[in-house]
Amino acid sequence: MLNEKYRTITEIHDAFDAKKLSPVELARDTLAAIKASKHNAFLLALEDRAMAAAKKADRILAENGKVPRETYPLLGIPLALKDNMVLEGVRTTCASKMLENYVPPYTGTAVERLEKAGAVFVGKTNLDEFAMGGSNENSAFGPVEHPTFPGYVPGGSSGGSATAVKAGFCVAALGSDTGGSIRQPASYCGVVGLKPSYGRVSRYGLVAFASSLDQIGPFANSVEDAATVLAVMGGHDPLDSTSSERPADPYVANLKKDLDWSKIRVGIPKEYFIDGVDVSVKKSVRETIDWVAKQGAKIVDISLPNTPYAVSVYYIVAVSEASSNLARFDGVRFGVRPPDAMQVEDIADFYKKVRANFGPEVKRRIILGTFALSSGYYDAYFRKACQVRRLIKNDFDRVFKDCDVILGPVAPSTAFKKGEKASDPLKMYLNDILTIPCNLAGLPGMSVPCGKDEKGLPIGIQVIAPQFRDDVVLKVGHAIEKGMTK
Amino acid sequence: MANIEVNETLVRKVADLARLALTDEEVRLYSNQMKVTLGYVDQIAKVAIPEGTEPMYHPLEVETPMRDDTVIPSPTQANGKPKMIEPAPDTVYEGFKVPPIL
Repeated sequence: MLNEKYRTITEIHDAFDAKKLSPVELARDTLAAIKASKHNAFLLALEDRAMAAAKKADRILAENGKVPRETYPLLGIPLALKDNMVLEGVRTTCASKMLENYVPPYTGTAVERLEKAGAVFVGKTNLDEFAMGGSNENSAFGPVEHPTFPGYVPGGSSGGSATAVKAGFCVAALGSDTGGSIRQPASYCGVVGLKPSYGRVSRYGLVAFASSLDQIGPFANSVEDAATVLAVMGGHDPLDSTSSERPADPYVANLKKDLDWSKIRVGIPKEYFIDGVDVSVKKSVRETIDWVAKQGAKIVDISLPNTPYAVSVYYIVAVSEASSNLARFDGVRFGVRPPDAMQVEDIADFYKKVRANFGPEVKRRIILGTFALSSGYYDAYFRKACQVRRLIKNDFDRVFKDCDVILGPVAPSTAFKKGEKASDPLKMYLNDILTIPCNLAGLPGMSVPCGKDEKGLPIGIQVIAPQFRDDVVLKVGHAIEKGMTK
Repeated sequence: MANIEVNETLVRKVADLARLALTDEEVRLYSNQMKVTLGYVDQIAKVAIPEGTEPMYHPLEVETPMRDDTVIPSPTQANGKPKMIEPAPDTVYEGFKVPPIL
């Protein structure tokens, strides 16, 4: 486990410079901690890959005397990645029996860029199967433990990455966020979690769940570290035509100067403080907003009237895209083929034997999505959902004329106990109501720790900005983080 | 939308379209859960859509990106076969092996 003194990139790089720590020592300690861990946060420790990267980092450090931060902003930094992102030659399971033996022949762009910047990937983290879930109880390889509250869920679907960062098994970790899968576990575990704007980070190498919603983003112990990771992996990639050609902003340099709150208009959406949101969550978020107001920011009451429809739209759009994306797991190109699969009369029976490898939540979503796209129901469900999606986007476009940034809760509650919502899918889906709108509209959103409930469970505040204003999300989140830790 | 009857027959039909084999117990479970979920999502039927509202299928309004028409060889395995077929469950020559279907 990482020493308490070395939780951020700056702390570690300063220790490297002062020769108090070396990349190899750090990687060795981290890998040992991962192997001894009882959280089930990791599906795989990347021993050989990590040690090779750490040795290279040692050499670079020796050649330069100090960390060459410009060229290698992540030199020797232990990172983890969710097991739905591919590394050439490394098993990638998506926490599914379907991909139990899948060894991809290529590496995803985000990871490739981070490795070039000196990052040491130490392991692949557990998740809800194919990123479908909000508690990490849907993994075919067992649930993940909350990092500080045994018996509680860490959130999901990137629960392994959130736990890994909070418990000190890495400095930052990659997750993917389709409806809140980075921000919600970040809020539950008390770490920073950023979902960048859609198109900011290449999805090449991320196993697709819902292609118009998925986005890769970082978990970290500080907003500055999240900015560092985004700055390295963001930007256009010719291998993903939905990655934006708009250059990445200087996210880290932007944080060096203090935010002038008097120039910031902060929108507070009334729909994010409805009855279903826990009192403790509202209180903590309100206190943070009061602090922001005291710093001189202009607080603007706003309304996003179509928010109540977000979950409905999402559970039509996301499952429809999933039913199409997951059609590739057919036992021909991908998937585990049962021994008797070749003895069939009909190819449909072959597919059915292979697709029995999907877990219950994945099957549930494929069925719902296939239904929403099927003849006779397409207009009433999929098309109508996409029209309401437009209205949700229009709501944001309208309010961003009156404010620069939106603040509100991330999730209606703090982390819940394992099993509490597992048998009621709708209850679990409704938990995503405050994170889904960002994905539908393609906006950046971040969870920043802002308090705790009466039991001591962490609460995050959500920072949302217009599309491609990830710089604003980071700047405002950074100022809140500094204010909260004073 | 509300006039759709979600029952076990519908679930069996949709599962068949999705090439999923379900047990009777799964059919019962999914049928009940689908009823509840669709009952909830049905609320979008009531949303008044202003005339001319185009469906939003994607958050980026991008046109099909074009690139130069240059040949980039596909990566190959040591044996010369395409690398992309390497993780497939079963391969033959340079392709995927499927069960006989005729």
